[in-house]
Amino acid sequence: MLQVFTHVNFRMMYRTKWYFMAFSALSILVSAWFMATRGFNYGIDFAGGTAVQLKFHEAPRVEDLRSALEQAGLGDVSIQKIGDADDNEVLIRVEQQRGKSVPAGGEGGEVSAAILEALKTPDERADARAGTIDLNMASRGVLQEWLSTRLPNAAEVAEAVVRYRTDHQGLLSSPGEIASIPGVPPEAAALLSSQATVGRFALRSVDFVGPTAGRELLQNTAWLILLSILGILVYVWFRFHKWMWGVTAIIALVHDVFIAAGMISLTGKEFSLTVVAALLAILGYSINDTIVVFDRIRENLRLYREHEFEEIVNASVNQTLSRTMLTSLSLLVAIVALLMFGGEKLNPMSFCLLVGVGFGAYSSVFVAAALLVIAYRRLGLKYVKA
Amino acid sequence: MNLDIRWRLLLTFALLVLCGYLVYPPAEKIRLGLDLKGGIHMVMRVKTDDAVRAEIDLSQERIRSALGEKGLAPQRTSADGTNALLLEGIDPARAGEVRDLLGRQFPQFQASAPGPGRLRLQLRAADEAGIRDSAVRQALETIRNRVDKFGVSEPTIQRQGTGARADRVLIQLPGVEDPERVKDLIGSPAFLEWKLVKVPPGIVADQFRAPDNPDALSQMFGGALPEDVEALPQDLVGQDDKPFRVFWPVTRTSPITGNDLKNARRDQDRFGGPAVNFLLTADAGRRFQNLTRQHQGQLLAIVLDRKIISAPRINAVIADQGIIEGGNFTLESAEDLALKLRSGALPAGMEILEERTVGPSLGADSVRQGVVASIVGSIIVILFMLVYYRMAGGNAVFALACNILILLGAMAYFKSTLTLPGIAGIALTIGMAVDANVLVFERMREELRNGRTVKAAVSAGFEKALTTIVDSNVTTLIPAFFLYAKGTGPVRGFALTLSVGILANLFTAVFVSRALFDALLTLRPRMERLSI
Repeated sequence: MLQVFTHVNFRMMYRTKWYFMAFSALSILVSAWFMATRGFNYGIDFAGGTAVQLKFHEAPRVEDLRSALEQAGLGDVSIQKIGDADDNEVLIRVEQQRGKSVPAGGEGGEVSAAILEALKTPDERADARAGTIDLNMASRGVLQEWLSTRLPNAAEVAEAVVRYRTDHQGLLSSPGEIASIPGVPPEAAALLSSQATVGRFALRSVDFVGPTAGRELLQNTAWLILLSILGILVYVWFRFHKWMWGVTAIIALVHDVFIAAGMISLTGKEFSLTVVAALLAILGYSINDTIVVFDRIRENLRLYREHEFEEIVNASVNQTLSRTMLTSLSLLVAIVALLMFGGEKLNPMSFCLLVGVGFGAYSSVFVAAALLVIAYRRLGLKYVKA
Repeated sequence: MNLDIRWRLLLTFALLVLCGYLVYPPAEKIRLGLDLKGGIHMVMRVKTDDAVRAEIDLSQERIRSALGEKGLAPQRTSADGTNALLLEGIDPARAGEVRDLLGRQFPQFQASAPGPGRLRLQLRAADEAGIRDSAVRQALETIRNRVDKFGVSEPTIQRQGTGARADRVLIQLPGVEDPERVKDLIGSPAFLEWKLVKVPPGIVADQFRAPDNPDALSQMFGGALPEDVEALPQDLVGQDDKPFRVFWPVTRTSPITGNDLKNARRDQDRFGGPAVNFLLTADAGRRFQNLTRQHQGQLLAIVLDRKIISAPRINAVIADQGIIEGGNFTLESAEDLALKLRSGALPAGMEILEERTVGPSLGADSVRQGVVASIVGSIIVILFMLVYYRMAGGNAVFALACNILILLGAMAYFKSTLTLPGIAGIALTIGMAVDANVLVFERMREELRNGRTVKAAVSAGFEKALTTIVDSNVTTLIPAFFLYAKGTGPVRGFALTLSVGILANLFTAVFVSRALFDALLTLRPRMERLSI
């Protein structure tokens, strides 16, 4: 029988607990310090602005992109390579400029169009005027309309090209590739190779968030976290009949969420809506561990009334230790898989979960249970049989 | 007990078959969100101020003429803010009469007198709210109309928000790839007007060249435009591809507008270039006929959203059919304009609050990555369970498989949308699926160590772990519930898979696993060692 902790009896709830209290306090201080001085790298969900994700077929030079965008008067632009180096993907972000009028292109969602226009080379602009079509940018509808004046079976050809493109990360790399697309007849391929162009990049996604939307989201987020914590407090209080149990459980929760948020600040990872979702999930998983420990304490309190409170808590923590380790391990395995294979968009979320779930397991023992012991000692509370 | 177990196993089996049936084939049964399928998600605000202002403008005309009929016309009327009118220069002796008449004929206004000879008419709050509300409803209707005609499958177009945010419209168009075109299609009011061009005195219509700034235009009229004439811009592109703008003097009133259209479609001009062909209603056709007969040789401006498309010369009498050309149309823009004209004008401008476009290739990549991450996670968790708990681990693995199947089955049955964060929720469910089993198994191990028989240990393990399982899962559900209730967009998908995953977890742990253990014990009642 493979076992991790069978007959363990670590003395965790006695003097040792103070070391962990100190560690937690330190972690919280570090987190607070980073959040206060560095703040968050807010994603456009919260900060507002425009983000355009482009995939190039040759590695783009960030400086070239920047100068093209600056020439177009797009103001403060951040350009960031994302994914692996050979993905050739960039994320271009234009901040919302408060007070200033929105740059070239006027209102709101039109910045993305201005970005795409600015990145075209003079040749590409001339091509567009001459009536050629960019196969990497044209949507199915546009392609079909363009083909319909030139070919009888426009719909099937457009469908075939778009399907091929979708399967190849949205990008054709050269006009020569057209002939090899399954479902495109030779005459269509000949037409496309001579009259269509293949642009340097394809549009992967566009996000625009107006300034009001961002502010509302931030408020909404604060409410969500507050409501969840309150809900948990009420449930724990109700189930354990003791407000102190609810309070210590909540302190452990806030501890985990605070540190997870602190690590997001420290690493400068994007603080987006999915990170908020991760913080809430951490609330859920962290309370899960704490409840398991608390349930055991409650059960043992009934069984061994004559024992000291510390002793009972210490025994309970030891009895549930292997379960806490196993569950957290299994959850962490899933999260690490998400972090490694889940792609760029889920990265900040997975990272936040990793930190939060790790600390969640730790805090159920060393914060929630330990605080319970401290509270009962210092405040002289008594556990009355429920 | 014997029968009981058979029933439980049967029920489990039936449920799994049902879920399998609901899910298969997953590519068709699981609805993907826009972030996985590709498409456009937009939240727009209807600028209801426009509608209120339009109502004020209209009332201003009507009030002036109503007062004029009784010889009570004020010297000046003007809009005051968005929702009020200011009348100035009222004969103080007859102010009472004015107020009486306004009170009777225009009850939607509340009158106050900020000074002698002045009257301020404020739109009543209830009437203003009504105007704003109907503007949003009308906008919703028009957008729906346009999207239908554009041909998007399964669009979502709905009003969002309450109170001060009741002016929001959520638009989701799966599979649509070109945001710029759609934004124009949905967001531009498409209010079409025909207005006569009033050339400055002393100039023949054919020789009139619109100047490139409004001041120069005023100069041509001797310093100021006549009362009934306004200057509207036209955007043009020069030989050198540089855009420029000219200003035309046109009548303030519009004899024919987009409301008079019966139909519009893409057509060709004389040179085979794209243009828009229109058909007027019978009544408007007669008016158009009179207009073109009376003003032959003059210029007639076609105005779209306060910008001039073109101002052709009226060469012949035109009845109910005509063509709009010369607007630098492309195939697309001509098609889109015709579509917008067919679906009617928006009552107010639209502002984009949020826009998210995901290309189909990115969505496909996200699905791939999410599936790989989930499978890798599952394999490691399964190996881990089998190594650690051996035969009992097999039970946990079965529970995990049930969990995922039930989760997907529920998603398919309720037609819920799977989003990218939703996939993360599934991955977490995989990690958490064994939690309840671990709780039970650890308890069983304890009971076995304390010298209980296998049967007693199994039973005690489940019973003692039950309250813990319920408590811990309910508390985990609390934040997920709030996130689902108050969250927006893809994040709601995360809350959904997380919550359903937890519920499935609860069910498999207390029902399915128990049934399996009991079945094992029934088969081998004298079992002395449990592989756990």
